[in-house]
Amino acid sequence: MKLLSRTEEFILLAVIYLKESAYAVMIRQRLKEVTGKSWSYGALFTSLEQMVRKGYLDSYLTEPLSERGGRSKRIYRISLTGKEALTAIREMGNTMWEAAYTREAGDIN
Amino acid sequence: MNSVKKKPPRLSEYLFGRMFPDKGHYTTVSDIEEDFHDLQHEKGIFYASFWYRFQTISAIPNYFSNRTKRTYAMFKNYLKISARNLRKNKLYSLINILSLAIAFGCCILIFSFIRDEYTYDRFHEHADEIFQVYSEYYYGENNIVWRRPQSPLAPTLTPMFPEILNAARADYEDYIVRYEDRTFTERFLCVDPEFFDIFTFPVKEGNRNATELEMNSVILSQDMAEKYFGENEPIGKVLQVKIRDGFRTFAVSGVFEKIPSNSSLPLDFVINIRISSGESLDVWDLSSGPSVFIRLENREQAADLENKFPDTINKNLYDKGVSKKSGYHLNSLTDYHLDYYYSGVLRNSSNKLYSYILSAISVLVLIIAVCNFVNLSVGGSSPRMKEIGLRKVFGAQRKQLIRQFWVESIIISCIAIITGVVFSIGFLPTFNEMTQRMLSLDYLMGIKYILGLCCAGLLVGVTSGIYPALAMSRSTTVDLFKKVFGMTGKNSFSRFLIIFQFVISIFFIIFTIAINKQYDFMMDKKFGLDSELAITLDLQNSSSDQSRNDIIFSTLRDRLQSDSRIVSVSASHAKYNMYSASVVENNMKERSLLRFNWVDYKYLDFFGLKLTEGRNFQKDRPSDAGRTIIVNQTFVDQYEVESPIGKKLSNIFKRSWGDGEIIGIVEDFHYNSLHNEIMPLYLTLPDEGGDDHYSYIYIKMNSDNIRSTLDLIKREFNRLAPDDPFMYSFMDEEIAREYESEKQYGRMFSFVSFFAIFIACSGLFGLTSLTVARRNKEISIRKVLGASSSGIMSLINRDFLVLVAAGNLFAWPIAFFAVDKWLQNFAFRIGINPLFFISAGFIAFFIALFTVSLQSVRTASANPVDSLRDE
Repeated sequence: MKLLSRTEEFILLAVIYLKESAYAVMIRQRLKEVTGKSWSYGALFTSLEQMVRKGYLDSYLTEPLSERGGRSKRIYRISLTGKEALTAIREMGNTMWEAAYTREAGDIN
Repeated sequence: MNSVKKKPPRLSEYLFGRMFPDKGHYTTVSDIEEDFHDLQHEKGIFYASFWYRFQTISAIPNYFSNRTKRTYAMFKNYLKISARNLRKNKLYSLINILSLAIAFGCCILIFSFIRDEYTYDRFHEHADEIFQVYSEYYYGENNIVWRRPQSPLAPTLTPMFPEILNAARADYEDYIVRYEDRTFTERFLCVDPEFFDIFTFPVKEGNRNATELEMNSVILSQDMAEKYFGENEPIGKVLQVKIRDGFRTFAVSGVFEKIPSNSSLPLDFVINIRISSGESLDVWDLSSGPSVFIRLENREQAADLENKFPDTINKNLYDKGVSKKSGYHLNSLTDYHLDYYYSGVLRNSSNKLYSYILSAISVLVLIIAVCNFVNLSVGGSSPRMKEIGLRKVFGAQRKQLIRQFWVESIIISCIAIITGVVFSIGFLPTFNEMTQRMLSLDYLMGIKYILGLCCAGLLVGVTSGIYPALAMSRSTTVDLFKKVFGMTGKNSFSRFLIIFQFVISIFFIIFTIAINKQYDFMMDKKFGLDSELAITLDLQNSSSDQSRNDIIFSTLRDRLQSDSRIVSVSASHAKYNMYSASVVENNMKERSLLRFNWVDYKYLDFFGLKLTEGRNFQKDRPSDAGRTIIVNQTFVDQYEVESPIGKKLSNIFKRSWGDGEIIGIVEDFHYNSLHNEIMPLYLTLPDEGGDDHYSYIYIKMNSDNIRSTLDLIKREFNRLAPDDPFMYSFMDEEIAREYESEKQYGRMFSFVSFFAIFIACSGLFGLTSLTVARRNKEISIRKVLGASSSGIMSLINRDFLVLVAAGNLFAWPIAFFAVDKWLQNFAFRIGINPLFFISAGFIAFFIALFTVSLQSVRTASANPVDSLRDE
């Protein structure tokens, strides 16, 4: 399986955090909150589309909403594959971190 | 703040929607609009609009990178499916690839041939600026004779016309070369040193000033250097060359680089023209001097230069008894090979017509192969149609299906190109032997040609994919499942293509038959001369002292005639297949152009020619020599001479020789290949003690033990001329050489038509197997209900053979027209025989029948249970 990129990882985490309200606007807001930098919609949509295609994300359309002029929202949800990918990247990260610091501690001793 | 929601910028909104359509739901647009409205609240419409636009623009790179990735993914999918399809339908893929590969191979070979034709002499650096000067002499209004310029003309040209950069004379001579104990007769190109300022024949090794051609130096071609000196250093080696009556010593001063095979000026030995022609170079008379080549500053000046001739150099001619229409003209070197009008020393001219015909043929062969592809994909197997139907059911868009087909056809055509290149490399030696060329395919490695091949592959792929792609993707899903395609359905396009393929193939076969028949006809007829077991002895090299030739002839004749193995001996001045042109005048001062020859009194008997009127030359009448003339029937007919016997004629080139009296009329015979009309002609006996002599001896042998007879002739000849090589050739072979190009093109046609019919039939084979597979159940049921095997075979065969028959119907008139047109090239030609058409039709028909039967026999003899039991 291909490793998740950092962008993908963050988007997936944002989607999990946002639960039912995980649509593009909110995801972007969340990313901005955490990273402090403004994400372009182009990059966001491209990543979302790709992750749907790769099967990390599922998506569904809401009922037409009056506040959006009768248009739906596309809500994203993490899939099982997505979760596995996240866990995998996290474990790898942990291993790297732990190994790095154990070694450092060992050097000091 | 203003609570009225302003619309986002229209163009940006549109663009954004196009880039992220979200499968038509456009939630993306409302998402960004949400933020837009928030921003509008906080920072105002101006800022928000700017932000929206910025978002749109910054999304463009993302959009494109995304798209490329997706296209690539899709393309990978197309490739995968194509590969699967190719593997699944092995037979059809094989037929498609093979037929396209053969077609490409033929195209590459033919292209190489045509390229060779069109690059003739182009390797000279100044090829475009080189012209040959020749003169047309008019005697009276229409009697035109082409001659080389007067010998001293060339050196006067450069000072007279500033646009002429260089001028040089060139001529071929055959000389005997002796090195150590070996003797050969070789062809020498004798030139002025300026020759090498005009033509670029680079000297590979040798003295720096080798091309200055000192009187005792010779330059060799690479082949000749190897022939004489092998591995040894050739420079400085000494050769003996017999020029006129004595051997002269020449030192090799240089060796040429390898000369491209497509040169009109073959050269082996090059010496200074002063050596060969000597004083005669300075004599202003009308007899043929060497050829003259000039190099201009640029090509466009030629026409102007030619216009200057009448007031300048043409004046040299007018006081020599030719009419005022005579004059000098220019002929471009690069035009020579394909458009020759005047040849001079140039050799190997060719007919442009054949280049056109061949390129048309290669395109037609390619079309036949493309037809196969179209037929096999449209008539496509039913699993394939089901696959496409299923794709449609699952929502494949039309353009995706079209792309799928195109990717497939392009893959096939690319594989075919590569296979075709391999094929052409494999067939190159055969092809070279057929065309008598030394073609090489190295040029294909040039970037220009690699790109060309890629384009050809792409073009053929796209073309052959168009119809299947459009037809299959257009049809409705239900149709695809109902299998309305193919032969049994309403698809007349497929039938049309098969007919078309067979029209082309049958056309080729007819043309091949016609070429070969015409060739056989010409070979059979020879020259209408009795040339069997006759040889020609070439005396021209032996001596410049021509009376010595006469002595050799008469002594040889006397010695040989006593031998029972020798049937007859004769001789002539000009070779029997190369008469010279001349002009005669009757006592009314009327001039007529004709061919003539000085012959021995046995000449007519030797060649089995009959007199229709009058008498032959007689040995026992010494007054016949130089005083009597025999003319041919054409002379009498063309010049409408009444009671010609006894009329006097005088040759205006040989005034000293006086009037000759016509003593006989000979039936028409060929002195030239059958391409040419027979012209008026006269023969005469040379005057004893005159200066017109025999250069060729003809000897006819009887059929027993030819080798010993040849040995006898050689022995006798060597006794008479011990220094000279014994050079003979059989007349039949010499005559055959005149028809070499028909033979070559005949072979090329057979080659191409073989492949054309092969491709067409492999397509037919594939199509039959498709039809049979589709009608398998129907046929099995017929069998169960009692149809006979032969009945089933004819059921399948009939469908196809009708098409071949229809092909015949169309091919015949086209072929008739083309063959008739082609035969116009020959003055003496075969009549168009209906048998050509019928036999071509039968050939095509039987090959097709055989091909189709390969499949139908199998089906007809199969056990019906095998195909019926699964239902």
